[in-house]
Amino acid sequence: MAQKLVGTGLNVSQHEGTVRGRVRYVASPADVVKLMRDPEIKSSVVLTQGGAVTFAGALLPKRPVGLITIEGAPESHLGIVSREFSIPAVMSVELTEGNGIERVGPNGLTTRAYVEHVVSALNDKVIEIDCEDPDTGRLYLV
Amino acid sequence: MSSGASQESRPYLSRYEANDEGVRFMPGAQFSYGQLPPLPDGILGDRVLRENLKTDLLKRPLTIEDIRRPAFTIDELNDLTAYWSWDLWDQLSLRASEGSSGLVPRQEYEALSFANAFYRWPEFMIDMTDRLGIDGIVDLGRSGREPANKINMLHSWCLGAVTQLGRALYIIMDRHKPGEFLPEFNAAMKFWQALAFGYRGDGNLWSSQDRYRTCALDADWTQRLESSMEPLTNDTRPEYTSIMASCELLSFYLHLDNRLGMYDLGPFVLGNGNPMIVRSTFTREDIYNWSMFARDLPYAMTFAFEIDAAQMKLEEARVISIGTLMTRPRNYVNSIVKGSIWLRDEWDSDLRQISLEEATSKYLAPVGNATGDVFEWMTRTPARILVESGAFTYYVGMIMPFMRKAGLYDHYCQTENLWEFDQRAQDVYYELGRNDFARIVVPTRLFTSSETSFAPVPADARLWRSKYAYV
Repeated sequence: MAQKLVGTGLNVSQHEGTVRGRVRYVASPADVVKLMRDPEIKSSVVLTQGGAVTFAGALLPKRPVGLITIEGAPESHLGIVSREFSIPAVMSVELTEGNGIERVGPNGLTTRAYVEHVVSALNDKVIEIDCEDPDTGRLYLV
Repeated sequence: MSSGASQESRPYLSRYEANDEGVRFMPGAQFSYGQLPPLPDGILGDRVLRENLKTDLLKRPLTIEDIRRPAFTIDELNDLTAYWSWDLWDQLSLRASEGSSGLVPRQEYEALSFANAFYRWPEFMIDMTDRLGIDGIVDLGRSGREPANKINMLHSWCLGAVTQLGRALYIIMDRHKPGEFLPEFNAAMKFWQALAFGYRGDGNLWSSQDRYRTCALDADWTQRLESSMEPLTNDTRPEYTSIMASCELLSFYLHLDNRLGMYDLGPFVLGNGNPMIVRSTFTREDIYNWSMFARDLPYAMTFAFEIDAAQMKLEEARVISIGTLMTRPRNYVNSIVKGSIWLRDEWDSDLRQISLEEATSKYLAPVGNATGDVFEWMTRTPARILVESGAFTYYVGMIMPFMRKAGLYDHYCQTENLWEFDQRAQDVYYELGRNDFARIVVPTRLFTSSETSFAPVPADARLWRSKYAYV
């Protein structure tokens, strides 16, 4: 099946091969609870904004196939715990087609427009995650 | 095994040679502070920084005579502040990019706790030093040289770091000047110094001063843990890492998304050249009301594990001062080849070893259930209460283990209102919330700090000028 590179980010830890799943964006605690109870979580890639662990971390014991964050780094708490669960994770994702949208606003915080841009490009799509490179994780649209 | 052959297959061992400069975890990044040369991260950054400090305080191992001196000079305080500033950048600048927390307002509670601790901790620290003597504070630090004990490098580091962060926060907010509150600042730095000196036992105060090693276990514990580890197979390794990861996750939840619930010790270099890491997770802490969700769990679980350094081509293993293992390459989980599990039922009970089978069958599901329950409690808790609760996990949680061990925790709760905010810190809360101030200032001005926030004490400042002389 043809694949298109749609984004790259910081690779939390190296994994051989690739994993594939449908992206599920969690924006609120209610989204997290809903996904926790969904048997399809085991074939899903979780997409969340931040790198703090108490929000999306509750999903990790349910073993989603992958994790993508819009902010954060492998040293963020969510990065640390995803590594411990051996879940491939790509953090601070950057889309190949940025469409000129500013990632960081004048106050130093991630802009709402950038978050919406990433969510719109990835949510509900089937994505393949490649974490073979030590530093860079790659996302392919299947 | 000759050390040469060992280093060829296990390059991380070269990091412990005197002239080795280490691996850059942040290639190209440099930290600037005053007149100091630009500083990289890691072993080289520590060396260049210490070579350029004004006093010899951090250029040699400390002795008990250094600890017994009642106060630091202004130059020594400024050297410590410069090192703290680099250290925070070295350890936390990458974490600082994590952005939105989504559930727990962590930057807000961190800032509030920094503000409160700066005013309140010195009184407890001075009182404890009066009661125990400075040698007693050293002994208090030394008492934690065992697994699963909250008297550890992380907690003693926090007392120094948060004092510095509180001072920096007030300077950023233009509420204090760099030459004010010096007796309290000095007393807090001395208290931290005595604890770290006693705990580490090597004359250093940060793990970065010893090439990122914190091997603070008494020798009999190191031997017991090493001999307790059993080989892990492709079948049992996932079970071992699963229970360990689940305990880590619960510890993050119980401590409201901060690292006070777990810490690593090591790397202990074993006879075969592999590193052993000793990781303790705190799966219950009765001082927090939300810990009721973990009421049936042990107080702590410890995981001692061996990493096959040759298999993962381990280049560097850092156990940073906040007790977190960072490696290059990053993924060490698949290279864990041996492990053991220990359990402590109560904070002051003995550790006992349990089998992987017992850990998995008896605790994996309850740990997961407790994590889910704490998460649900968080989703139903208003942000203001989460900010207060989080601030207490820092301001109380960091100093409580030392008070509890000294038999003073209940006394401070009952007679000194330990669980209370200083009114001036409480006032700061509203300013922190305005215009995302806390979310912006914590990552950009504190964790990636510089001389403007971690300001030196002016040379003409008066060391006796306390907060009560603040006019």
